[in-house]
Amino acid sequence: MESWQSDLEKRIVRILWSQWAAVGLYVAVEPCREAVIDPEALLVATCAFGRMDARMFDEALDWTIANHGLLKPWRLRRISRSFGPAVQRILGALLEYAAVDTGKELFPGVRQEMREALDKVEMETLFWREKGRFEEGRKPRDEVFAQWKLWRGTPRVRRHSARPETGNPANLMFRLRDYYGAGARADVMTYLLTEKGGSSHGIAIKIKYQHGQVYKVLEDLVGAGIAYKRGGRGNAYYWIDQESVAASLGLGKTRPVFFVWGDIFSAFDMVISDWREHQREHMNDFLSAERMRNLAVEVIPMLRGAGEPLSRMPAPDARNLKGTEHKEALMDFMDRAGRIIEGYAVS
Amino acid sequence: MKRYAKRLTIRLCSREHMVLLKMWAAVHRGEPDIGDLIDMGISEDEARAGAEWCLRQDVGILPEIKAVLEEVGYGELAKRFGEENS
Repeated sequence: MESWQSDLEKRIVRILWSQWAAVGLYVAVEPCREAVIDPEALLVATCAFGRMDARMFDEALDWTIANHGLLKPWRLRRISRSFGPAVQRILGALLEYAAVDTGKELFPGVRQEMREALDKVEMETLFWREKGRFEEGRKPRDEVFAQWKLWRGTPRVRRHSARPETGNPANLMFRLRDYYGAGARADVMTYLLTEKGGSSHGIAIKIKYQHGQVYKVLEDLVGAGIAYKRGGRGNAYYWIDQESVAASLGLGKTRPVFFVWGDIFSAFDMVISDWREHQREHMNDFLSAERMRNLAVEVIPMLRGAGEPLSRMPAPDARNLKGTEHKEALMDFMDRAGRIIEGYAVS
Repeated sequence: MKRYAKRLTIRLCSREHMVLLKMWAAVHRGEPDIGDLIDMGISEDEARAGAEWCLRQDVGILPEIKAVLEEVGYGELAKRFGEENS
């Protein structure tokens, strides 16, 4: 089980590295090209999985210092909520460090919301493998992170990060934000260009926006003759002619696959964190199976709804499972989901 | 070691020395050097050699050396190493 959890975590870390390489980190990693990168989900997920990879965490901090203007604060807030207070305070610390480093008042609203998580967490070491190093003042701690109840040494900011290369199909979201500006339109168009279409409510859930914002953008697009609509108020379905819109935007014929990265990373984090926080129970097959059965109720629908390639995966039927089979079924499902997303995200 | 023309000599660190230097960095700085040692897949013999070398440089860092040995997957060695050197 420990090896399974560790392998799963390493797979997610590999996916994160390939996405970071695509958005401008100065690293010798093959960049992701086949799946749309969601920058806010990437940063939030790095606050969760970066605890086992300090190098990645500090490179993400470096990128944020250089590219903070490309991030949407309200999406950082929405996506981080599903990860919970432990990850929210890490995001708050990272953004605060970027604000101090740049001397600018960056993401004040996000930091304000993230600060509320501090009441729910204890002081602890940021990186798992540095446990015990900072207690009793044995090592110098970074003051900014310490204010967020996190112990760590001084971040290593290399200042090598570049801007995302918009010719890479995986950076479609950046490219459209550059074209359409800061509103919701760019992310709605990213979805419509890479998925078949959907209701305003469904699209809002997938791209992590408020429903009202997405509905207004879709109606404007229909009014401008860019999008089409079928059905009336409450059950309308929206879509675009992908080929002609892509041609008008100068995009190539191959477009990346859309994944709801916020949900994917959050689902994997739920399972891995549960294992970490309840190690003793997971060492007992029956107790572990019970935990895994409860996790499956939430995690499996989340992953199956997070992109077309994942929706084709058969879900285990809990009614036909007994005892430890619940554990094996979720492990098998997570492995298959991991392999699918890695196939798209890591070249 | 490679020599280029008269004035350029490049010396590449051997794996043995790389492990020693990485261990020293991991003891003093922690991450990301602990993760690097894990990625290097160091053997128990290499871990012991690294620990002994670090202790020869500074006898006051035994607790830190033990912590690194545990983190890179050699908990038993950390225990023995602590007993042998305390």
